[in-house]
Amino acid sequence: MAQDFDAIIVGSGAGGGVAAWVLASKGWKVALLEKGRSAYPSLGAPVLRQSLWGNDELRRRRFFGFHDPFIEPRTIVQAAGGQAEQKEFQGLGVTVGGGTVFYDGDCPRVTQLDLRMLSTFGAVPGASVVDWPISYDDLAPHYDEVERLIGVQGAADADPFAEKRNAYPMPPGRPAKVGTLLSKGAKSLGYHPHPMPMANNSIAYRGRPACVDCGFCAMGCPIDAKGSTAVTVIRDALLTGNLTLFAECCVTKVVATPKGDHATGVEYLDKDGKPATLNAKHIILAANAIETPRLLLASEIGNSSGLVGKNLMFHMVFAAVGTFEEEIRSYRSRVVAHALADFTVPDGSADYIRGGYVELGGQIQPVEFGATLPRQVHKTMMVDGKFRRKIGSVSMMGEDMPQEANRVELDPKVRDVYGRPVARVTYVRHAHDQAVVDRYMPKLTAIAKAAGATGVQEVDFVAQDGVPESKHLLGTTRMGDDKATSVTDKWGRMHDLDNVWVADGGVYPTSTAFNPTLTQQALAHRMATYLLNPAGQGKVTP
Amino acid sequence: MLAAAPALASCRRDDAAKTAPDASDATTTADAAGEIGPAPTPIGRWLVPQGTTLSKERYAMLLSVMDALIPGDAASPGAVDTHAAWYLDQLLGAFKTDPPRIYAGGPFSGRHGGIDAFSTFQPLTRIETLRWRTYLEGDMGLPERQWNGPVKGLAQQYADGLDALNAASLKDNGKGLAEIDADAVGNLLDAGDDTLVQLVYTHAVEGTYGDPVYGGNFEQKGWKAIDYEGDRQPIGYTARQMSNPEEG
Ligand SMILES: Cc1cc2nc3c(=O)[nH]c(=O)nc-3n(C[C@H](O)[C@H](O)[C@H](O)COP(=O)(O)OP(=O)(O)OC[C@H]3O[C@@H](n4cnc5c(N)ncnc54)[C@H](O)[C@@H]3O)c2cc1C
Ligand code: SF4
Repeated sequence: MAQDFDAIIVGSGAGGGVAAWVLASKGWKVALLEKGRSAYPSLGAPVLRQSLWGNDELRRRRFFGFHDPFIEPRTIVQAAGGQAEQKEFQGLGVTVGGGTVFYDGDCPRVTQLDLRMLSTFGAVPGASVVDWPISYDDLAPHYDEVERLIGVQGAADADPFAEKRNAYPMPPGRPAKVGTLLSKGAKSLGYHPHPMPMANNSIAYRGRPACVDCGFCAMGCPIDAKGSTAVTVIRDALLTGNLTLFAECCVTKVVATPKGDHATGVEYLDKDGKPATLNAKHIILAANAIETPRLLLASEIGNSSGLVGKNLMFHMVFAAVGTFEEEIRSYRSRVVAHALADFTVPDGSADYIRGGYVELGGQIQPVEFGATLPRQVHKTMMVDGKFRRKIGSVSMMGEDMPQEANRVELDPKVRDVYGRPVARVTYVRHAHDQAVVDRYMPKLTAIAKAAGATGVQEVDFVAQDGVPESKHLLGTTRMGDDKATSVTDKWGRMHDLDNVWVADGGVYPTSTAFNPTLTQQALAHRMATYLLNPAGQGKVTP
Repeated sequence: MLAAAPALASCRRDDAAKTAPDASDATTTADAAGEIGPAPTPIGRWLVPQGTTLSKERYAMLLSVMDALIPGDAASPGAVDTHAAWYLDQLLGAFKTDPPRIYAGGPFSGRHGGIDAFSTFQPLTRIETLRWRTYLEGDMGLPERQWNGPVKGLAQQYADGLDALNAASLKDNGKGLAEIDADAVGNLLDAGDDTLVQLVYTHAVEGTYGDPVYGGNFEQKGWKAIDYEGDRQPIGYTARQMSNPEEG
């Protein structure tokens, strides 16, 4: 059969964008299908003109380029045997660039320990802890490449807990006041704060300007100083002439042969809502770890293990939020400029393994802050206390345990605007996860207090009755060597289909102690490098 | 297109003597966003600007509710002073203009350099048009708007919610919602349907602290009240402004 493309990629976020660049730069004809709109009228033109992002909270609150629960609802079950409820949770970008348009840009790497949880610490009852089928050394060259492509700032020797590495493409940017204070506090307690590695330009880099610390990263960068995949790898791939971008095209099905061991293409709804098809030699799924299993389940492929959608992980995100005597104005900065990794190393407790990476800083803009306040305290909090200008937070990305019961399924009733069954998520915290929160929350509070904060409040963003809001989506197509206990192999290829690959956080076997996006991108880079030349075994060639 | 602001600096009837409608506002009369005329309609405690999408009566009721939710005082403006009701009304009437007033343009407002791109609203995609028409107008019996069952539009939610509160006011106070004082409104809100109260509160906050291009945050009063700089592109902050914020 004549093929329209060498590869079709579903989803233009973190992993999809990187895969598009690797393949298109080596001459493959690639189609990138993205259900969201492009916010760049000239993304493929020689000169990148203005974007449609702005320092504007309302655009974001009206879901411009973002997952919109009104047109794509989700349901969630939050207790064993509980009812599914329609709620807004874990939304990421739905636009060219996906979540990387809105992310903070925190780009830590994992360590070898992250990939060896089972062999280092043994099994955890009730959890499906495994080792990754790859090592840190397998990832390292791909990290280097991705950091160069998207532009990452950082200080190579600043974090004593990180693996040895080369210099970052850019030096650290300007310090934020809140992070400087919190770093001082952390140091006084013997910890090792360092500049957060970030995909925000500290200097002009590859045709994009330096970040001016406007503080609106969560609304998309208006000057393209943040290394979203849209303005880096996708734009680079478009400029090769080998990439065709299909924006506002929602993939509804991966079409496979009757035996289900080979995919022929995809069905999608085009810009005008008309059904259409494309075929290709390879299909790469990069729709994120909720949307990819949703598409696989709807397509009824790739699930001989029964594990598609299972082992969903989010990270526990929890924080100590305090008020400083002096002005902080933590919004005068990119989101987080400082971090520490001390708690990613186990401290020998019998109740839990370890904590996670810690962000020193964080920010909230006034509409979001005001809207979440109880109306009765609006004036005290917004106006009288000048409270918003003095708060600072210390937050942890805790490693949650993989559990088969935590999963993505198709909701039997609720439909989205395209007529597709929506994702129904079940997510219940493991006792180990709770032990981590209980153990480390006081340590975060201690850092805030050592920095001079008072009135410290402890906030758990994945509380039982709240919704998980980590924005980290992982594990639903886990990789492994055994096709009975994993969905994808160590390259990201689905065990069941010889030409379907996954390039999003779904391939994570365990959630690691770090923000996941850079690692997803390194995995996507490795997968696409292998796909180009399997004999090269994923070796990076210039 | 510029965001049309109501002709009145203040919608408080008490202030009417101090803030006579500005003749220069007559220039906005033909603004496609609505007939913003200089002659306000007094209803209860309020002066209702011309060109509202909500009925004048309901707009006055909305002012009463917003005033009770985010009251103003000498030191800081409330939701009425920041024109948060006008903000909500602009949203309800978003499709009166083409492109609709849903998403401001990018990348800059022009307040800190660069040209003002915010006030050129963005054309919507097919899905965005379907989304916002359905959300604002309801399903109107159209099958393509009922992907997940029937939808009651925002305009109807407001109409029903305000009418119910007004009926409660008439029953409790013998006077309509637009006439009773803020304390009496507060009592009604405490006893009333919390879904509506939460909806109005959210829009009051958006209209108070959101970008002025959407019709609220009049003269950036909301930002000034909390000593906030608002959008900062393309200048951002200097290293000194980051490290020494107490200097302003
Ligand atoms: C505010 C915020 C801050 C964050 N900060 C950080 C951070 O500092 N560090 C970090 O590591 N992570 C951060 N994240 C998380 C990060 O954004 C995600 O990890 C990352 O975007 C995931 O990449 P992905 O490619 O798997 O999926 P996505 O980014 O979700 O991309 C998937 C794309 O696929 C498209 N798609 C889905 N289904 C279909 C379909 N059927 N047809 C066509 N297209 C489809 C979607 O529209 C989307 O554009 C943050 C997220 C948010 C929202
Ligand atoms: S803080 Fe920097 S990277 Fe983030 S939106 Fe502003 S200029 Fe862009």
